[in-house]
Amino acid sequence: MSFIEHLQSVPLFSEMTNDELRTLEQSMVIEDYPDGHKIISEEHINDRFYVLLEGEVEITHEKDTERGLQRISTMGPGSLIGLHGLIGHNRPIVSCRANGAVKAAYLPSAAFNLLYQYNTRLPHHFQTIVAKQLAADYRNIVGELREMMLADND
Amino acid sequence: MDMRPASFKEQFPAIAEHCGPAGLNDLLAALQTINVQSAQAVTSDGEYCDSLYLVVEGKLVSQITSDRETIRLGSLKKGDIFSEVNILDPGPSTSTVIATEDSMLLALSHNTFRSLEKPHPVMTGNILRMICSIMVDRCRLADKLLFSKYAYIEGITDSKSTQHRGLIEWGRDILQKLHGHAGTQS
Repeated sequence: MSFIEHLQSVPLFSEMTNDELRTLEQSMVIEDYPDGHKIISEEHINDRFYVLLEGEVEITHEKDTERGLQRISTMGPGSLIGLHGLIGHNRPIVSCRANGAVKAAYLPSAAFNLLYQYNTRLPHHFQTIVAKQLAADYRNIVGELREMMLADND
Repeated sequence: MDMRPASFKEQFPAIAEHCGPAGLNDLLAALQTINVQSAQAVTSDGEYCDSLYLVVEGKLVSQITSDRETIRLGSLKKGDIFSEVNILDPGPSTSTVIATEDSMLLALSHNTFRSLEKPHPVMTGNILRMICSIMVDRCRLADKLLFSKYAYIEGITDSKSTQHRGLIEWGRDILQKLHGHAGTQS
């Protein structure tokens, strides 16, 4: 499967035109990662946004916990990771580690900012993707907390 | 009510700083004025909403509710904005906001905001980025608090989380921060 076909299979990218996908293809870097490789680490600031093309990534949290490593979830092809890195350049709260061989494409925030200067629609589209994912994450956190707080006392 | 650019800049500098003169005029023309009476709800927890609200006058309270109880998250006053998540992606509101005195708001809907993208791509892009940045900060803070207190949750052996007062206070604190309120309020 070509890179563009990979992107077209991700629902959030489905509204992009072929021209936009080609621009994106030129801006992103495809890399292979071996089993166990930390693609995103809690120890380092992340400024890359990744599209997982092949393989599986395990999401974990370890830093500043008494409990040690916590496995949070696993993500497969088509998943987007590091979206927050495009917005705020902070140390991530979670780590993402290759579970077996992984192929992923990444867009550095510098390339994203450059796109912003030369092309208005594509970065807008990206920003919308980030916004939708953020809104979903936000509603999930609030929903889970709400459920816990308002749990039936009976 | 027609808000003048100078008043808008004074009350909502975080948004105004991204607007040039033409963009600000178009944004002000696109904003819808809403007058709410005391005790009237602007958003309702779980119900569809597609707008960001800016408080021009008055006072409101933000809370989440169930059939049995209400958790107060914080208050909103002149110059505050709320419902950021709903302009990013219209959907269910995460809290109920009720006026505690007669208030005047400006509403910016998702579709109205999108209609400004073509004439003002830089302005809308930067405002969207600013709102995303606020949401990222809140999610990060909440994640940090959730993880930092995870050991405490592990110490709870029964399933009735509401019986643990410390846990309830901790949950309320996170919810307040997620909704942009500084911290524990009475």
